[in-house]
Amino acid sequence: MSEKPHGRVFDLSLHLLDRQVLDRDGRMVCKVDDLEFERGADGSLYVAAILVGQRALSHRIGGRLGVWIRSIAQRLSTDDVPRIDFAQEDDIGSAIKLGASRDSLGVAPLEDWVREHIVSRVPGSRHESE
Amino acid sequence: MKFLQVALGILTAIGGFVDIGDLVTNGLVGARYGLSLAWATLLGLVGICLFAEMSGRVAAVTHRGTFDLVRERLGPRAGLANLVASFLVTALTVTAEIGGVALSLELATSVNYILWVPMVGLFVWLVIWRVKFSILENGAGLLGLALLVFGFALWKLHPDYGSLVHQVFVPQKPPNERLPSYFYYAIALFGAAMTPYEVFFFSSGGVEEGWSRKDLMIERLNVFIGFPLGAVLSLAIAADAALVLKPRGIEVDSLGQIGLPVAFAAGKIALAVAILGFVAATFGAALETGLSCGYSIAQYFGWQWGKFVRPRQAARFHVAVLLTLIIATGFVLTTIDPVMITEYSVVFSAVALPLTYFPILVISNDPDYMGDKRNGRLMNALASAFLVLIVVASVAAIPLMLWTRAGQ
Amino acid sequence: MTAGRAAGVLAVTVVLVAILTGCVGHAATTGAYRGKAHHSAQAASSSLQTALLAVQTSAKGNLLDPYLDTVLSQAEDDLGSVQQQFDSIQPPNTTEADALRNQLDTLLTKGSSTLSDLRIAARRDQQGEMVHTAQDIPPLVTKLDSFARATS
Repeated sequence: MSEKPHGRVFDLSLHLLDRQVLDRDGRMVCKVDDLEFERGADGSLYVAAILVGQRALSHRIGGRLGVWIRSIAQRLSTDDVPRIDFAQEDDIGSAIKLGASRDSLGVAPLEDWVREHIVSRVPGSRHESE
Repeated sequence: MKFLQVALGILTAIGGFVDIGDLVTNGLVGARYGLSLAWATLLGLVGICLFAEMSGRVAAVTHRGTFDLVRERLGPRAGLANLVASFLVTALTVTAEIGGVALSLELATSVNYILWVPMVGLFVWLVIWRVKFSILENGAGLLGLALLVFGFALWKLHPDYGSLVHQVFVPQKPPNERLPSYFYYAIALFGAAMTPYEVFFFSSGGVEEGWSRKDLMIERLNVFIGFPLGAVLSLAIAADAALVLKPRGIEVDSLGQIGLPVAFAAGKIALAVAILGFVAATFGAALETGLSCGYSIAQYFGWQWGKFVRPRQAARFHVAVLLTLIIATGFVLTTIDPVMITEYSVVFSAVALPLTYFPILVISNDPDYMGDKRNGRLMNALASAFLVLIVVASVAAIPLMLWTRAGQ
Repeated sequence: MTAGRAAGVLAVTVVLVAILTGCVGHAATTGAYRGKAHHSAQAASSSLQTALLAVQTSAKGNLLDPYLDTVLSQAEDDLGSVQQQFDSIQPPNTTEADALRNQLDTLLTKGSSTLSDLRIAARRDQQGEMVHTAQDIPPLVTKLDSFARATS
């Protein structure tokens, strides 16, 4: 669990939820789709992790649409909901900056799959555009 | 060097303003209503200038795309509604643009347009995949300047300029036309000028090109000089149709009719230039709308997006673009008339406008994101007034479409 | 209204709109039939005028051949589908409706064959033949226009 600097108050919905998450190199990782809480030793709630992906987001979209999205997402992947431990978080500003590199996080299974099976097979995927 | 950059931006904005929606709608309206609906184009122009400036400013200040910020600011549900509306309308526009490229190539070669469609779809994807963003943007925009030939043709027709100006500023619905159709086409022109994708593309493009605060002046010049001149091009297309097609009672339902006035007035070479303009404008717009579909999905979900990274680093974004292009190409291949698809796409653009434009107003006003570059009072007043207009057009569009049976 | 509901309503609206605006109606009354005849005449006149303009432009040496071909083919297709749509409408059981049908049909058939002849001449690069055939258009247009005025 991380400690917040003294004097900074965060509004979860304003400053955390739906924010873009960037890795230490400034590359885009994901959005804060949902948050996971834990109870600390003193009984207060702490933000434990950022939850990522369609299943996490479906809870916040809610209603029948949310249930529908969740059922599709669950069919596509039976793993746990991807999460980023909040210890990785480095800075909270207009985006959430992580201390780790994007590739080490493993929160984008779809990206990895698509890259492996589709994009890599197309010529020119490694090059910067001319 | 700076001057060249500014000039390039403006020229690109002029040439890039017109897409298949503007071509078809202005040609059609000019042949039927003369210039008595020019006010709708001009109104749309003011609107797009306002909102493009806001979204460009958002990109320059926050270095983030608009969809990215829409979800942050308005929440995942409103953001999703915005995404779905924008994506559907923009995907329909991609379809219309691909059809437009194919139709233009048919006019150049008399090879049936359907045979061109798969190649066009493939080529659009290839350019998005491989060509650098600034080349893609500037290339299509500059080639689109070929449409200036419509202005040249107008001059060759020796019109009564006074009468034309009078029609624009003292609009009078033609006596044999009904009011509902008149307003239906006003909304169509409005939607053709204020396409939803334009503002999202403008802001994402700004991030692609690495705009920052020091580029704000250039961005504003592009918008406030480039777009109005682009709208003048639209009006020239309408005027040519009004002068050549209207007296003959020709109702526009194909792209070929729209270019005939240029040939009639100015000859073969002018016609060839016009065809080049058609191809450039529609192809450029196909690139922009294809990219916009990718931008909107990727930015909503927080995926890495953009051509400023290697495709491997933005796999889902590129696949989203690819899938959109495949679906759009498939839709054109069903042989549904591309001109009809275009006519529907501009009206549905008008319907989707409030959902897509309202968030831009909210974000460009937010001091947390924009700091001292947030909207001034005048901008807010104008933009809010426009939002009312946009809602009116959006709400009226479908009822009018049903009532007039899509403008008959 | 949830996002899902809204999307559903939107989808249904879009489908409804597409169907309603695309439907060719059944002309129940003579008035409605006259209206359909009127629109068909106008559309036919438009196709013929388009072809005539293209031929005139080509005769001046101002039109590229592929462009001419495409425009003429399109005009021919349009007129053909106007006639087909008009003919497929069930006319009400009145003598006036039948008279309208016969009158318009004659004009549409003549227009159709003229446009076919134009297209053939254009593809054979027979400019003289094309210009000659195009001379049939102005009187045809005049008749269609007066028919349209009479049925407006």
